[in-house]
Amino acid sequence: MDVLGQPATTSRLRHLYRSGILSAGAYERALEIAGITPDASAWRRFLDWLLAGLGAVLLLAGILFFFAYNWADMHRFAKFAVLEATLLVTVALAWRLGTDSHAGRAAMIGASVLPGVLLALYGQTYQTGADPYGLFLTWALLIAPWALIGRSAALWLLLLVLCNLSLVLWWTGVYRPPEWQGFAQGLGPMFGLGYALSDADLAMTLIALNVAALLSYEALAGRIEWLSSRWMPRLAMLAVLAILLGPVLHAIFDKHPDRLSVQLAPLAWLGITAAGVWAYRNWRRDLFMLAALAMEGIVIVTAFLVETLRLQDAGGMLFLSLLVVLMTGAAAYWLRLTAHKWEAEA
Amino acid sequence: MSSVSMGEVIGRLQQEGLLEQGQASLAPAELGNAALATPWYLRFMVGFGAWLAAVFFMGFFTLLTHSKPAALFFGALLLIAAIATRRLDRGDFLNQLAFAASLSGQLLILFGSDIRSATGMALLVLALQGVTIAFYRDKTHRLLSTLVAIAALQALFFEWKWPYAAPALAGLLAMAFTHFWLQGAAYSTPTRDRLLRPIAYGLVIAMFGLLLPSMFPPAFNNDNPFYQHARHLWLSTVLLGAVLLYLVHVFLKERGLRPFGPLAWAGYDAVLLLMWPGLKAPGLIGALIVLLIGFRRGNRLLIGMALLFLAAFLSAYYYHLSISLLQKSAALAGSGAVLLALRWALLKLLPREEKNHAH
Repeated sequence: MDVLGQPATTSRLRHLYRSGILSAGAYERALEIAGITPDASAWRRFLDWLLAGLGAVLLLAGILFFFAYNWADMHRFAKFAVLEATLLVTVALAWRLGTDSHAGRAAMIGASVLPGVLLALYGQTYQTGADPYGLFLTWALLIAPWALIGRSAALWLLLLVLCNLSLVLWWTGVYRPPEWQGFAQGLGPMFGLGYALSDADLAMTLIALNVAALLSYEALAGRIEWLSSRWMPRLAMLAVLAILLGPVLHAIFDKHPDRLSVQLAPLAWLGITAAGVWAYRNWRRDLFMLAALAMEGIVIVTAFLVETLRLQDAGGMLFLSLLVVLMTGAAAYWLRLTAHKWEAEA
Repeated sequence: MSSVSMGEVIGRLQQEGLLEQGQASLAPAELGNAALATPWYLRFMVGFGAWLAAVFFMGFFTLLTHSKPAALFFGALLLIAAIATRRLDRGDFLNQLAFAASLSGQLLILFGSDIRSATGMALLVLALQGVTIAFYRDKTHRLLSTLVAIAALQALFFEWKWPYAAPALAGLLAMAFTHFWLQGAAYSTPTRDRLLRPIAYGLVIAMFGLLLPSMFPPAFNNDNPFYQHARHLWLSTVLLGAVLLYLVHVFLKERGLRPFGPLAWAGYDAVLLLMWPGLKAPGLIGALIVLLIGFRRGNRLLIGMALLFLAAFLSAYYYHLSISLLQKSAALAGSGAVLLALRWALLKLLPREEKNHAH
């Protein structure tokens, strides 16, 4: 690996300073040479960006608040006209600027958010009595073509979020409404969502949906340049692992789980972990994914041992503590070894 | 990211006589070591494991002895062993064990001390954090200890009924981390940098934490003494405003611009203008300080934190304005127009190339 050919970053230069190779003066001068210490033109661009960005956001917010103030008194056609005009403007901007530019992609994202607002206005104005899931499902279907042509991972994330929301709302509103859903939702959307996910069948269905999305993303990532960023699959994986934890812990602590989904949850976890370790160690090298899988494994194995061995005395506590330390240390060691192997092969 | 390579930087430093050939030849090996530095999510995983282990450790010692003196003895022993083990730095397993032992040891000391008063407990916590910051060589631990120490100070101010202390502390923290970040390497040796950097990050996070009450103005009317601190946030505004003025002054001087020229006065006026809404929302000024420092030092973490808190404080400020939607609309649009006008004025005054130096 050509370490001297790598870009000069603050952390690399600081490492040389801390190891005594660079003096304090040399370190500060190195930051200037590397362009990390901003010169006058960098400060100019920064102030330009900061003031223009903040100013534009506040101005836009002011316009939105103006419409909000007048909203109740506006005729329904005027309301539709405002939203549809804004939608047309964002689409025109996206077409004009092109999806290769950041501004064009930002306009596409705006054009993908506005249909949802339009549908909400439609439902509110005409009181169609449709189920909430219908709004999100229709929204997702409308923006699917945008996602295909948008060249933006953010659009795919929006589509995935809408699909997840549609599924949760259909399940809890139509298919199998939980007993205390209204009360739980009254405590807040996050509480409502958490309560909804206590239904293991729903949780496992969501996991299947998000794993399918993750697999699709990873399959295409190697071939499509704008899918090369890692934040979207990492978010999807975190969502999968977070949702999976509930049913698996349920399976561990419930002596006689009646639901098949709960019985299968540990198998699903083993399958996802095994496939994930293979895929992110050998196929799409990603240390973050391996670390996330390792952390989930530590929690689940610890929970399993707590329940199975019933260690409630001092010795049991010490054993569990040392076991957690051992598992975490082993995971950290394995991850470092993997990172070294990748560095050596690079 | 810089477009200049490490090799080019090292070459330039040698040309300027700031780096000897012998030292330069060691650079590739050291950079190879740097490539193996631990990423943040790995440190997060290790920290999470330590917390989980600490819970069981505590359970072990609690079940082992019900005697407080014994808990105090074992706690001190654990803490000393943790510090010694971490200083050896013999791999992830032992470092993990030390982290868990340190947390458990501190909790046992607190339990075994049998201190009933909140003041005494807060002072003990402060003392423990002082010990761990000084002797426990781990940046994550030092960051956590800094946050816990500030929280203990806050508890003391609450106990002693010093409503002005917490708002003043936010300003003092800003002064401290500004001093650290501006001085950079000129201030500290590599050893001192390892000690002070995590503390500086802790001070930034703690400052934002102390300013959070400003996001909930209805709490200003609450009789709860905790919220009485929130009524004196103007003190934070004044101190933070002073820090921001100082920063503008320093950055102008660095670029060779006249510290009392037209551009400088435009900058000072902008800061003073900002202090008016900042009286109820000092977090805006705090976030701007961190943003400017982050940009100056090329520190993306500071820039990211600043932008996050700037968005949060800005949203909370406008949300809680006790005016109608129409008036809020005018306030927002007006603020936006002012900033855009300020941008126009500053860009007129700010030279495109480096000229207009101070004489």
